[in-house]
Amino acid sequence: MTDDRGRRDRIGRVITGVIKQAVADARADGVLLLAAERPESPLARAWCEAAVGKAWVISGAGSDALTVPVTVTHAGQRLLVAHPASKTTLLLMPVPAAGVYPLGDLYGSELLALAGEWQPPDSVRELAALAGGAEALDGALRRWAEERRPLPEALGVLSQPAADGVRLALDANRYARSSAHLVPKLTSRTVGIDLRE
Amino acid sequence: MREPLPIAVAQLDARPGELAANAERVAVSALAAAVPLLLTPELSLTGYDVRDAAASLARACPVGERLDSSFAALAAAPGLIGAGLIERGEDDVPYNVIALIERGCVRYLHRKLYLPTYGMFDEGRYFGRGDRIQPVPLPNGWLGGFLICEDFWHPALAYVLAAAGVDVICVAAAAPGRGVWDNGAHGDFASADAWERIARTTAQLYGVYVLLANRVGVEGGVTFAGGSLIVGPSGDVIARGSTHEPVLLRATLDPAELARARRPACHGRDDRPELVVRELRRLELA
Repeated sequence: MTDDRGRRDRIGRVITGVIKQAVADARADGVLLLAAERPESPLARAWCEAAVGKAWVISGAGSDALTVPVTVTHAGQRLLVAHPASKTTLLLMPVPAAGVYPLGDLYGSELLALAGEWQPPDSVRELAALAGGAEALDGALRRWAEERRPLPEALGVLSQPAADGVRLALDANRYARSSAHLVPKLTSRTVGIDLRE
Repeated sequence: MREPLPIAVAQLDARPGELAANAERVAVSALAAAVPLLLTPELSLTGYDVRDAAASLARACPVGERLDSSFAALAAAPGLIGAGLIERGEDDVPYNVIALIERGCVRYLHRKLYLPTYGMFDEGRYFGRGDRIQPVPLPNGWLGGFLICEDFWHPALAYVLAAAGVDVICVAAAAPGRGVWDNGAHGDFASADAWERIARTTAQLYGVYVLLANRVGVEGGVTFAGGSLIVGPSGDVIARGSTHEPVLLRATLDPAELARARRPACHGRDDRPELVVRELRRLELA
């Protein structure tokens, strides 16, 4: 087994377990996966399917809406709404509404490594471009979030325009992030659980 | 005189607020283990993240008396069972405790001394703090000490137990898993490595067995990390639980092994608790 495959399986076990319990806790039958057209969504879909069975995962159209019910009824079935937003997106954008964020503790560059592609919202893509790529952007975010370095130091490796943009985006979404209440915890600080700074 | 003591550590899930179902789960483990001493995880009878429901889930736990009927399943379970629940103290404060339960009756109680209230933890909002640590006689002549999760990260408590002469330190935990991108040495979570380091170091330093019963399962976005352990008095791992699955670990605590581990270095013999107390006082820390 390659390292990447082992990592994907390991992460999948944790995320699958959280989705399974979330569906049970919501008294739901399955999952409605929003933004299913994004290239990273098949990864989320695979883990949702592992949790509730292939027939119980319904793909929904792209939605970054801020008001979506946590559960919806589809063909008589109660579905828990899931959104494939990454940690990078949850940190830098208003949180799209959903009941669970299967990929919400994985940075965009990690999704790139696991899924082969990652399609962030436009404003995040622009910040990544300013930073010199998703790896550089996420590296700065990780230094702040997981390594607990002061924000100026964490962003110090970025160009001034990129650092300014990231700082503004983090500030603008600081309190909105608490609405992402169900993110499978993979790291030492997880949006919606213990990362509200 | 100690005799060999068969023990088991049950790595279990627990559903928040489902007292009877959790008690049934613990009782089934005790029946399967059929040993004089079974250790289960922190809050194994109540679930962990119950927040302000702690008050309504709390039950009186007087030592020597039968537990509330919510835990009726334990009356049929054999042996001494270390199980986690919420005690309603005489002061009506909820305490996070581990109780030694025999046929549904409480034989001993340890209140958690250190309540993590940082990061993802909020125990200080909902529980009162314990204020004492007390060794307890176990079957077959063994002396045990009980700690709950965060207590184990305060090494002075293990020291106090060791100074009091315990042979086995039993730790009930509900430790979440973190660090999945790079896995741990023996499981999916890197955070489990720290627990193993502490357990092995404690066992070796004090020449005691260490039993660690950790939760599995999911509450909200949090996955409990499993990785329960039975560690011998030389610091060697005798049994280790997997990351996600409930499992029953077994061993027989061996007095000869305890003696062998304590013989070469004599750290226990040479220890000077009075020096520690005197210096803490001199430095105005106690």
